[in-house]
Amino acid sequence: MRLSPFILAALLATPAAAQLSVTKPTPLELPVTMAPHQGALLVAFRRPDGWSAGKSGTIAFARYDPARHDMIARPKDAKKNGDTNTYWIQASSKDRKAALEYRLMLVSAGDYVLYGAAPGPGGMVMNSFCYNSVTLRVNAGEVVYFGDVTTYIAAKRADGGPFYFGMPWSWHPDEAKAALASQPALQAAFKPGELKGGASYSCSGQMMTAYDLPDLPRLPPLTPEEKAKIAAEALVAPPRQAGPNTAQTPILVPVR
Amino acid sequence: MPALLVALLLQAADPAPPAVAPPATTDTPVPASADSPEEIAKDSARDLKDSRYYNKPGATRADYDKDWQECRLIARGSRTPGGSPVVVYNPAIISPAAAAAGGLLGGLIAGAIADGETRRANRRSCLMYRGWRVVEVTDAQEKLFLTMPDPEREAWFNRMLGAENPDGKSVTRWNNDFAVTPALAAAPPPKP
Repeated sequence: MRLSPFILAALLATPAAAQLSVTKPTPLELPVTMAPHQGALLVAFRRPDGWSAGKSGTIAFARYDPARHDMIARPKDAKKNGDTNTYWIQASSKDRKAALEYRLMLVSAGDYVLYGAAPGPGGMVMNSFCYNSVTLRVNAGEVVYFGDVTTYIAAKRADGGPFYFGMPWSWHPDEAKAALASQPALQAAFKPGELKGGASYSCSGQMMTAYDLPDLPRLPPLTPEEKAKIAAEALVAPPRQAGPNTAQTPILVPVR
Repeated sequence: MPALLVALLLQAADPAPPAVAPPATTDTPVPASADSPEEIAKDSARDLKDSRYYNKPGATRADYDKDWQECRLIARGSRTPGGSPVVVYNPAIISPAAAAAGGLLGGLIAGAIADGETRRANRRSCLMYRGWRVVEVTDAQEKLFLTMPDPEREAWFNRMLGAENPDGKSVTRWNNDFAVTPALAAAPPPKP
C-alpha cells in the first residue's frame, strides 16, 4: 500500500501512542504533535573531526527515580495493564556522513537517567553507567535537550596511549533550538535540559561503569534515613529470585 | 561475548590520572548478609594475588574489605551504588537492554550477565571507580612471593594496600574518558 505524502503527514501529526520502549525517532521533517502526557527528548550526534567522521552510535536512557537513586524498571505485564509510561529510550545515529544529526524521541513525562552508550553500529547498548550518570526531567509538552554525543572508535591519543573508544558529551543548546526552526510549536516548547550528575542506580551486569560530567550540579546523596526507609521496604518486598516473580504486583507509576 | 565485555571494561581503565576525582567511599554499612568479616577478608584476599593487588593511598585492609564486599554486592545486582538494597526482583532490572532486545540477542546478553568473569571484571571496575588502583607486580616480586610464607606475603600486601608509592611495574586507575574526550592525535585526512 502506498501512502501519499499528505496522508503520511496527517498520520504522523496524530499524537503517537504511548510506548513503553521508545527506539524510533520522530521525523522532524513532518509536523509533530505531542499527546497531553508526552514530552520529547532531543539528542544529537555530532561529528566535529576526522576521528568521529563516519562513526555511528547509540545512547540509551531509562526511567529514573531521583528520590531513590534508582532506575524504574518496566513492571511485569506493563503493556497488559495499560501502563502509559516510557521505561526505555534508545536513540541511534543514522546518517554517518552528517556532521550533525538530531533525534527527537517522544516519551512520557518523567525523570530519565542516561543508562549507557554504544559506539559503533548495531544499536545494542552493552554498558551501564550505574556507578554515576546523568539525570534530567522531561515535563509534558516540553522538548528537552539532553546534549550532543560524539562517537570515537579506535582514535589515536596524543600521548600515544591505547586507542580511544568513547562517546563524550557536549552542550550546544542554541544550535539544537535552531534545528527545530521548521516546527514553531516544537521550537516554542524547547528547553535546555537541567542535567544533574550523581545519578546512580541498580547495576545490571553487562559492563558497569560511570559517565561523569564534572561541571554539572549533582543529586544530593541519599541520607541514612532515606537508605533505612528503602531497606525497610526491601524487607517486606518479595525476595530476589532467579526467575520472574509472579506474585509481584505491577507498579503503575503515576505521571507527575 | 564475555571476552568482548571484558575487553570493553578494560577500555575504561588506563594509567592516565583520572579527570574526575573518584567519590569517597560510602559510609553506609554493608547490608546484612551471611558473610562474616572473616569470610569477607578471605574472599577479598583472592584479589590480592601474586601478580597484582589493589592500592589506595592511606587505606587500610578494613577499608579494602568493606569496599570489596560492597562492590561484590553491586556487581551481583543486590545493592545499588547509592547504598540501598534492590527492592524487588524484576527481569527488566537485570538488563533493560536485554529486555528491549528480546529473543536471541537478549538471551546472549543475559548469558553474559550470569558469567562469573563479567562479574569479576565489574567488581574490579567498581573498586577502581571508588579510587582503588590496580598494581601489577614485577617479575622479581612474583618469584619472591613463591618462596615467601603465607603470613609474610599477606602482611606485605596489607602494607602495600595503603602505600603512597606502591611497589610494582605499573599502576592502573579508573578514567572518565568515555564521557570526556582526552587529547587526540591529529586525525587522518578524510577519504576521497
